[in-house]
Amino acid sequence: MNEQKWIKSILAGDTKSFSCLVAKYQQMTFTIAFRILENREEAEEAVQDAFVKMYRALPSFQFGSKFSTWFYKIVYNTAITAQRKQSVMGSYDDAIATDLTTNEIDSATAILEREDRKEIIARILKKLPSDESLLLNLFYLEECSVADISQITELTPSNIKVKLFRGRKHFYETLQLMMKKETACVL
Amino acid sequence: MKTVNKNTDKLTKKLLKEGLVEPSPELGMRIMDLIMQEAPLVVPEVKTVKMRSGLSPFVIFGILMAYLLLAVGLLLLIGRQPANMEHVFNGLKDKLPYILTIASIIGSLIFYSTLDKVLALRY
Repeated sequence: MNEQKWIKSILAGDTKSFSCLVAKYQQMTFTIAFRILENREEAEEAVQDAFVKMYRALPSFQFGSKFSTWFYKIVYNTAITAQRKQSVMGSYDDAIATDLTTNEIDSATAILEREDRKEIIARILKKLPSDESLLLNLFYLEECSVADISQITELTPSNIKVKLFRGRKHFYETLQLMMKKETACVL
Repeated sequence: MKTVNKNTDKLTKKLLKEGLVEPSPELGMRIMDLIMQEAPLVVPEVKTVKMRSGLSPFVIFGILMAYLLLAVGLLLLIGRQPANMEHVFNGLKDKLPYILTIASIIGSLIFYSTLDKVLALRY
């Protein structure tokens, strides 16, 4: 695996190999920090800090464990520390989320044909609670397992499953609402 | 039901990919600048202590042979004088607690000194 090779050469003193890790992980680490901090500049600062922390902690990394999970935990903790003022994990509300409706799925499929889809989806993700959007990104984009996410965020697996389910539901609901509003504006 | 879930998962993944926010292009450079300013990493050394008894291979072989000869001699003695064996066993029976105590002390000594060496190698 390339990753192990890079880490070994970094430990051997080849600092330039670190650029491979930066290239591989900067997008996802930025996404994690951005979902928590909801601010581009602060997220980039948190990512820089996290990379430096990871570099310093690299000698203690155990090759038996998954590097990405280990590193995402550093990023997550750094972003949470940077956030400080408000708690990331929103209170666990008791509202029961039902499964997706056909209308919600139809709206979501329709949006894929639009030119401005990137902007719309970014707006929806911004409207979601930060913990839900973070978990959705980790689960769907990074393909982290529930166990991995549990290691990163220190949430229980059952809590993660609930938040994932709720996050997906909120995502599609907001998307449908947005589409309805736009249609109403046109009419 | 599973197919519906799979399709929704695929759709969600696609949508989330579309909504990905890119970091600024110079972020990587800024990170590398910070890393270059860092002091070289210090990797903790792994101790490579060789376990040696301090005896030469010839001496070890000699001791082994001596024990073997002793064992063979004892077996031959037992084989030639079976009548005396009962007397020997009775004598051993009286001293069994002492023998067991000494054996356990020696066993513990060997075990803990080996454990100490293994721990010294690891940490």
